[in-house]
Amino acid sequence: MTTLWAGLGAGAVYALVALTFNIPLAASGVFNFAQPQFTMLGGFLAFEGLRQGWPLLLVLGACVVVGGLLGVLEERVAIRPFVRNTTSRAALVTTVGFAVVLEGVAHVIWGTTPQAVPFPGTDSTLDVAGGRLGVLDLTVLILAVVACLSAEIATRTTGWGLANRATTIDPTAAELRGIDVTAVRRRAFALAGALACAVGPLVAAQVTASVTLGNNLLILAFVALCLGGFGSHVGCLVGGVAVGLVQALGARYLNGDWALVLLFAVLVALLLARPSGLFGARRQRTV
Amino acid sequence: MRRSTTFRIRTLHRRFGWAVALAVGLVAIVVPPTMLGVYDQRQIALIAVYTLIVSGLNLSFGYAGELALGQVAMFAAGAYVSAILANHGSKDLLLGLVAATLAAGVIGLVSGVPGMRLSHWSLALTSFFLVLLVPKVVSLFADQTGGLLGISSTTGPTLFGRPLGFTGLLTVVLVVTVGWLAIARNLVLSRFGDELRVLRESPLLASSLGLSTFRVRTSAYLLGSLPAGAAGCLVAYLNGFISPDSFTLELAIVLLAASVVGGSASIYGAPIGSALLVLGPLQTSAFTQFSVLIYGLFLLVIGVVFSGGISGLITLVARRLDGRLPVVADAVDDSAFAEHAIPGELLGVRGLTKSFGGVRALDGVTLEASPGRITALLGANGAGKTTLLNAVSGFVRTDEGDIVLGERRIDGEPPHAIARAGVRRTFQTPLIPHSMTALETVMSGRLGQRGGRGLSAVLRLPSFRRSRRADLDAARGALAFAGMADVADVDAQSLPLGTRRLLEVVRAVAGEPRLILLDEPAAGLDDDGRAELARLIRRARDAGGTVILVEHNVDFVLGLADHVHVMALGSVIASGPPQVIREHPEVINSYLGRRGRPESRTEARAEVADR
Amino acid sequence: MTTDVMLEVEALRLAYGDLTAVWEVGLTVPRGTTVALVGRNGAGKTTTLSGIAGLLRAHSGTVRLEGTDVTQLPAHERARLGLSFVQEGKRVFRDLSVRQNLQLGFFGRRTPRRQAGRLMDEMCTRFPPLAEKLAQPAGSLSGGQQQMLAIAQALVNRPSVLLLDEPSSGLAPVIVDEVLALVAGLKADGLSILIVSESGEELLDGVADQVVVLDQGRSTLTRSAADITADDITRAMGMGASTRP
Repeated sequence: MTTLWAGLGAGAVYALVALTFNIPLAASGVFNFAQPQFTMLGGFLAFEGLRQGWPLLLVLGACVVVGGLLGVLEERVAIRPFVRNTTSRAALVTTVGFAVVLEGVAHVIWGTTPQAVPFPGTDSTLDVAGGRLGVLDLTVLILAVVACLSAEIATRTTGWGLANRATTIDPTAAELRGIDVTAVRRRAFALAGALACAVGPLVAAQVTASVTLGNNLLILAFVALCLGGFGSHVGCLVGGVAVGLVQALGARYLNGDWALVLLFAVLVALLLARPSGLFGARRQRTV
Repeated sequence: MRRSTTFRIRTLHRRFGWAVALAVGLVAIVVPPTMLGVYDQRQIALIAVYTLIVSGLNLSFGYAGELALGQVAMFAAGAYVSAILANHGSKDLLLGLVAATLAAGVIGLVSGVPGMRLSHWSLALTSFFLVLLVPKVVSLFADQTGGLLGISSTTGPTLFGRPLGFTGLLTVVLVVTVGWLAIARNLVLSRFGDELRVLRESPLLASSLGLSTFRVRTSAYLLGSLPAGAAGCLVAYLNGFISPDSFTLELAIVLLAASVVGGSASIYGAPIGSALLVLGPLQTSAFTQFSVLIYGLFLLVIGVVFSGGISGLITLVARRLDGRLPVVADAVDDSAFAEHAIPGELLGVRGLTKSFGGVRALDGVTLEASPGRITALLGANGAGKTTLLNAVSGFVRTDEGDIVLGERRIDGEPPHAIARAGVRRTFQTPLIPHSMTALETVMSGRLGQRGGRGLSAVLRLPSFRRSRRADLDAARGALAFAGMADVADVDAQSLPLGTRRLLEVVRAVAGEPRLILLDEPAAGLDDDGRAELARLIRRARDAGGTVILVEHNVDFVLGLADHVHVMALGSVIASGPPQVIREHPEVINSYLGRRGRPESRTEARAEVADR
Repeated sequence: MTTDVMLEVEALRLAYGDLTAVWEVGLTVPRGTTVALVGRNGAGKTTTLSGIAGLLRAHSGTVRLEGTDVTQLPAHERARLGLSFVQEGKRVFRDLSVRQNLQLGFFGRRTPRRQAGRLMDEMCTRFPPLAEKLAQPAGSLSGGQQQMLAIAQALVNRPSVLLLDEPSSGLAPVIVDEVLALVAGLKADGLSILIVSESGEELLDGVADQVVVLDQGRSTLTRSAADITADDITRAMGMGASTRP
């Protein structure tokens, strides 16, 4: 049972990162490679902030601000030059480039040594259903459920969600109704950046802050996204938790190395059998 | 003299580029092992190894337009396979190279086929995942691979039973690298390369020319994984020791940076980019903590500012030196029309129906188009003309009815299969790939044909030369047929709109079309342009072609067509020769416009639209 | 006296890349009038509307909305100034519900919440079929109802000028009459309308006050609807004799 709880805790992280992939994807069709690097950066910000003795809320606030600003910067630098050219692969390279730049910056400032982030309450656990559940894992899990569900609800019911959906379906028609398509995209990047960065301290408290954190999250959150289906926020939650559980159970009963191989097999099977994911709608092709 | 093309750098490059490349290649093979010191030799070997991998990456990313980040995994596979073979006593380099290449191919297949299911980032991430797996797989099979500590004893390779010294090994490395570049060059300058260029420009165009986009993409990615495997084998012997530390995500980024810096869509971009990175950032170990940042900036800056990389810059400079290409004001040379047979066949469409949501775009359309005639479809926006065209060319799957070309039923088949059956089309906005001459563009009309690829292209076998010659002859013939032989060597995208429209028709003609579909070819043309276009279309008809023309311009259609079908609300409301159509009351009502509507059709139509 | 010209287009030139689709178009829509823009397929009518709405940047020329030069403004800002464009082909958001489609209209002009509620009620009264299907996806509506929804979506923006691109295209003749009646009703309410039509024939039945004929990217004739005959239009469209002005 402890294994399951740990898997849920890790899965919640993947779900959150997958959600930050999904938000810009839903508003502009861009897959942002750099997203997990925001989380990595958030981890280091927490490390730095706590070392300076900042209160927890200030750390989180700083993450939100930094992540949001970086998101806006990325949209401006790496995405907007290519928006008119929809067949362009250039945005793919520039988001990878932005990701590597963030990684490089962290590398320069903090080096390659993983840093423990002494989050208050990290060590305490609860006994739930015959297993031990870390308070931290529980926090992340709650956050993931709240974030994914509220993103789904906001998309369905608010004006923000409506503008996003309209922009994805038909940007031209959306513009004609008075929606600033560029602003919609910028907001999506800012929100995703802020969220991804704010998740950072929690992840770093779970597994330490390190430069390689981003790349691991990139892959696992991508699998979560594929499982849940691109564009479905609730799908992120389900996909993330599934990935976390496969990984935890695989590690428990085989070993950690097999777990990753197993996940790759799951990904390959999924792409071959159902590329739209469990929750994604099959898109109809129109010429 | 200024107009003479003989001394243009690009012409020289096209004619003699291979000789220069061959000379440079020979120098690269001969000089380093004999004349350089050990340190420089090691650097050269490293450049060569990177060149192999980057060149494979370019095939997939630069030419096919699919970003792959997993080359490092194939590199690792090749290295470990060779090392394990060596540990089992088989140090033959040839065997190692073959085994390593095969291993890389298998990994390419496993990651490529699923990765291509969703486009773009999906392949990038699936292949990126592979790199993450490398240390895991290595430690899972630690008894063979030495685990995370690494594996040594890959020293003293032999070739044909004779031990190779370091210089011998270096020579093999250089021969393999130069040999692969030659292979890649020959592939890129063959039908396969043209397929990649067309695909990158537009998947729509590719399938309309008879290419399966999935097959072309996957084979480019697969092919690109092979040199990475060979590079792995070579590096295993060069270093004498390998461990998972040599196959990191960071290396994947370095390789991508090398590709982008050198120019992804270029054969010579790979050695240029690799050399720059090996001699530049990789060299400055003092700044190792900045290296990641620098690669990132490379990707970002070059991606945003100049996507052609250094080789693109060179091409651009050459083009500047050549001066601007002469603007071809009058592309059609009246004196020089050649004959060219077109094997047109009868098209029969029966009871074709297609609904989009609640709207019937096609509602039981039945019509015929016969060889040696121009059949026109006329109708208002939304009448269903374009849907019909898309249905015949396979881009829209119909609900009911059948489409028969000659003896063969083609409805329900994918677009590329229909194109291979001989259906050729033009587009409302001409689709003409970048950096292709008019002649090459016309040759691309024959991409659906067999041969001219693979081994015969790599070795430039007689069969390749035959199909190349056939393509060239057909393309020149088709250009001459249109009186456009003069523009053969002009960059096709620099031609004016009217000439590009003509070129699309010529491209269709060159592909031995059994049916030619023209989608609003006169849009945006002035009177002269329309006249030239009409003349070409008539010539295509007289040569035996089956021509279907969709067009808004009433005068143009009525002056050109032999038979006209008028469509409204998804069905054919009138058919006949132009003079009949001009006077047809219903046509005047629904399309040309006069006061009043016929009551007889009103109710039936209302039912249709409300469905 | 405030500006009586709601929309003024001067010497507008528009191109897609090197394909110039509109060479020189000029027209004015006075307050409360309906102007019909007619011409054959490919004459540049839709392109002209796209240029007025801001989807296509002007190569040269100006577009003025209620006296304000909007030539350099992006499409969404023009929409926020009250320019509502109903594109051809019943272009609604098919996957969104009817209510959501109507709500999208509020992204234009700032609308206080109470007024927004009133506007929604008004649309439901004006278009009873929509009121019955507020929760259904717009794609499930019939062709005519989708066209009404598209127009309603534009009306929610309280347009100063309404641009209608071939509102009757792809619709059954019976439905066409309904749509035309609707346009006549809007005109009676005092709305300024620029309406595009392929032939312009039905508009001469009393809806349009003025007709502008477009041929090969140029406005070739502007005349009051009362004084124009079908022959005038045909000639200006370059259909009859091949004379061109």
